[in-house]
Amino acid sequence: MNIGTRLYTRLNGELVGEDAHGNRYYQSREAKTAPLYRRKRWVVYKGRVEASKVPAEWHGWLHYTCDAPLDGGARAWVQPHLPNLTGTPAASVPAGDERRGGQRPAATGDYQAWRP
Amino acid sequence: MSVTATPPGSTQPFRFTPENQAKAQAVLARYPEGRERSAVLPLLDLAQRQQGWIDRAVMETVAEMTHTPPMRVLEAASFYTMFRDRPVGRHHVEVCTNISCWLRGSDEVLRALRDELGIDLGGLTEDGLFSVAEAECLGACVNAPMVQIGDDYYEDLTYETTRALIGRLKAGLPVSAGSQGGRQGSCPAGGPTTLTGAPAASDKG
Amino acid sequence: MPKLTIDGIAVDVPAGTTVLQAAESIGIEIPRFCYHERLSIAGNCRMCLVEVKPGPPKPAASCALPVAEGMEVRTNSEMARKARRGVMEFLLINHPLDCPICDQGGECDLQDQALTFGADRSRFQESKRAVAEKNLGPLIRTAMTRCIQCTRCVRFCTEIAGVPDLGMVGRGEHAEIMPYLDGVLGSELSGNLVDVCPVGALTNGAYAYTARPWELAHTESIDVLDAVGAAIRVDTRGAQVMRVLPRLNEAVNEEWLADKSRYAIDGLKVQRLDTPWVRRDGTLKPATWAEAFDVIARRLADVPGSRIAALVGDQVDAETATVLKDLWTALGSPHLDCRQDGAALEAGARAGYVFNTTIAGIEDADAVLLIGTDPRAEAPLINARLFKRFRKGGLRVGRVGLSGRDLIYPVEDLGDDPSVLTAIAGGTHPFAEVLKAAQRPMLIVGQGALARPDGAAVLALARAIAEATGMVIEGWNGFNVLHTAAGRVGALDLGLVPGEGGRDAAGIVSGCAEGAIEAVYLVGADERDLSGLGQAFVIYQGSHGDAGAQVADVILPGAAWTEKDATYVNTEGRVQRATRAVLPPGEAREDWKIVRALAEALGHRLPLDTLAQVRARMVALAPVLGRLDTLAPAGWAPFGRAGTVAATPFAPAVTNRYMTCPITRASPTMAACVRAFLNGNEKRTGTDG
Repeated sequence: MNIGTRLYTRLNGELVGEDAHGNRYYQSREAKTAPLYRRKRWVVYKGRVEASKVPAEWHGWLHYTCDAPLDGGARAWVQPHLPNLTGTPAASVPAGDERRGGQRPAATGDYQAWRP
Repeated sequence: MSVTATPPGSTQPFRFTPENQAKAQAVLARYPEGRERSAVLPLLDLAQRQQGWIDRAVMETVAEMTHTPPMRVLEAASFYTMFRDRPVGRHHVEVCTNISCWLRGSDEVLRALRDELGIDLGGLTEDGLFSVAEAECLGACVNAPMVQIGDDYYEDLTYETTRALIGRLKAGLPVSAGSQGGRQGSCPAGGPTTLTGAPAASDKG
Repeated sequence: MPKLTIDGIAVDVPAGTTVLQAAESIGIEIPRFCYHERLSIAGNCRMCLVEVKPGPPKPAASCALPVAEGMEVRTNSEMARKARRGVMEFLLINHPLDCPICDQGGECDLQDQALTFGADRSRFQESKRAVAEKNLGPLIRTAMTRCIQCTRCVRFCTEIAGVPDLGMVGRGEHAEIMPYLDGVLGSELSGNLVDVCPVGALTNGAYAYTARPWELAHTESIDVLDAVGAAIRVDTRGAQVMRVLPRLNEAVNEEWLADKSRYAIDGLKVQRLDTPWVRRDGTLKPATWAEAFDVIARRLADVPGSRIAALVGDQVDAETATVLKDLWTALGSPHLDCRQDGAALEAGARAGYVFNTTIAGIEDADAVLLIGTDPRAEAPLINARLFKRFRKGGLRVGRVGLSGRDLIYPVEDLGDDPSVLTAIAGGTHPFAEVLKAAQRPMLIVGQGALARPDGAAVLALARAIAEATGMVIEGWNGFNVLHTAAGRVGALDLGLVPGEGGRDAAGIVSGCAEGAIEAVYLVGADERDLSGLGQAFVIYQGSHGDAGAQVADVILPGAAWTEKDATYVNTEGRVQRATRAVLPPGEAREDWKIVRALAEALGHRLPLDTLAQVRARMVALAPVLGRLDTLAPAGWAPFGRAGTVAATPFAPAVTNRYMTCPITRASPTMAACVRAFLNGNEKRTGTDG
């Protein structure tokens, strides 16, 4: 969070909530409202700034899809939110990649090799 | 699925009889050198008169005589329905079933053929003497209904006259072409309706 | 020069041009199905209707309408568009709605034009007609219900391929395209029917249901399966060559391609050498490149250059030949030959081993003498040019040797005895008068006439005929050698022939048997009988496990022509570039790199590290190879060696027209062609499928 965002949040921000990862969500305090205006919504990340850290229940709120954040994790089939791990050591790599030992089956080949 | 062409394969090679060979040479002589291909249709007709139908052997013989690829002869032979692509009887009866003949009783003619020969359209009698085929309008509407047997038209047919005609052909007796109802050419059926009186006298009375 | 306006644009075209061609000349494309630039005009699809004034107030078929002074043509008026919509509705009446399973989908003229002129529904309530499939052999797959009776295929067979076996039979609703005899389409250009067909009625049998056109990557390249050097487009998906299509090159192949070149590509996936092999204790074992070079280096460490020989194969590109030539110079070995069939061609005068007339030049010839060649089997596209010339009229073709073979145009057989050539050269033979009387006479010498012990004498005799009958005049050279090997002319340009005291191909093989040659390097050389190599150490480099690989002690896997950037010189001497479309399989490498690496293993580090350096060296060795795609006339210089010609008839250069190289021998499609078309009439060779 740079100094500008920090100052802006201090002056205009009204804390709406905080998600499980510790990201804090703000909206502007001003009273100018619909239909001509809507209150600005933003997120202050905890740690590295990475858009995919926003979980689904807050993503909807942040993009004005819903008026309040959804109740995340209330259903049995909802998995905990994971940010995009590309570029981190936990990134997904396919079996056979060098980082997983590089063992892969020999190419079956789209050609038929000669055998004496 | 339509099958139009004479199927490949023939039992034996085709040869013109000596007199037909002479005719064929006369036909070929009509066309300048290098234009023998023009003789394809007359030669096919000649061969059909000799053999009754056109098989692949005929096409190959004609192709050779006219220096034409056999495929071109097959194209011509299959284009014209008057070239027959299957064997026919010695008397090939072509019945017109188009609208004039149909209105005037071509169904009766077909019934007569069925009763007399025991075959339907497209049939061939076991003795190989008769075959019956359907023809599109042969241009004799004024004498409908009619059939074509060989080169001749037999017109003004009824159930009875058709059976009589076929009976005479079966027996090998001579038949007369033209109207079977006794009318001369295409004259009005009930006798003349105009110009019945004597020619008018001269204007100068 | 009639003047007319097309869509308001004034056009000035020669009389006799059709409206469609005139419109094309100013960039207005009129839709068409039956019209094809290289075929006669049929005018039966009616898709090219336009509005023409003055004239009757009805649309006119622009493909069959000659231009006239003051004509006003509107190609896109409401009337023309309405007429085309009507035609399209009729065409679609009997056309099946099977685009999703049709191989033509995505490159179909009917599909494309239906997008513009087709209705979104049909008013046709009756049953559609169905047409029985026809058997046109293993190369062409038919779906005749899709046929729109444009008759392009019929006209192609009659006018280009010279085998009038296809025709439109029946009439009206019952009209259908069929061959005269089932399964026999005796043309070696039949694959072009697939390109000519505007719909999916005739499709590529080998490519059926394997790819969609939008999935394919296109690489423009050159065909090397015969010596014509046809321009091709290699269509690939991933690492596989899916199909080969002809490209336009008016000077060589126009827009046609021989069946072998189009269909042999499935041979690229079979019998491939994908790893080096080394013979240990009598059996070949897979090895790494390092091991293979190590074995070679140790075996050849104390073998003098004079006991090492190289045989260069038929599809060796000029880059490989360049590096090989430099390596052999470095080794000091004179034993090097690119003429594995023993053809008596010399590397000296270029006019003595190329097709001087040029392929397009055939169209100007008026008398042709064929000497021991069957162009229909050896170079179908050159035969098609001869047929094109024949159709213009006034061509006389004489033939010495290989008589009785059907060449689709009439040929006068002058006898099988080569002594006829002496008579023609001496002016005592009647055909000599024909050649002398001709304005532009030419002769074609086949490899069958040269690959014999007295080949040099035959070549000298052919030269004598050319000179005696006025074939070599200002602006015309009628002396032609027809090659069957795509790499031969390039190798001769680079001088891959025995040096001073060197052995030729036959000498190398016999030298191996005698022990005079201790090691032989076969660079793609498979077309000789290699059983007699005796105790010699055999290094084979090539793309396929064929005759050479069987006898090799070390196998170095090379690349096929679709897998390397390479220069090939066709039989005319035209230098052309093939482009890499896919990578070589497994451990295989581009051939010039293998030779370069081998040179280093043998202790001769050549200063050729990049393709650019190799090409610069190639041009330095043979400046003529620096001139791409265009031809310069070769100067007339002495070649051949006068001598007596034996009375033995000429042997055919190509004994099996579908199998002439390792790739075609490996191809299942070519094996199917041999079964379907040759019926055992032509001898099978080598290790055919």
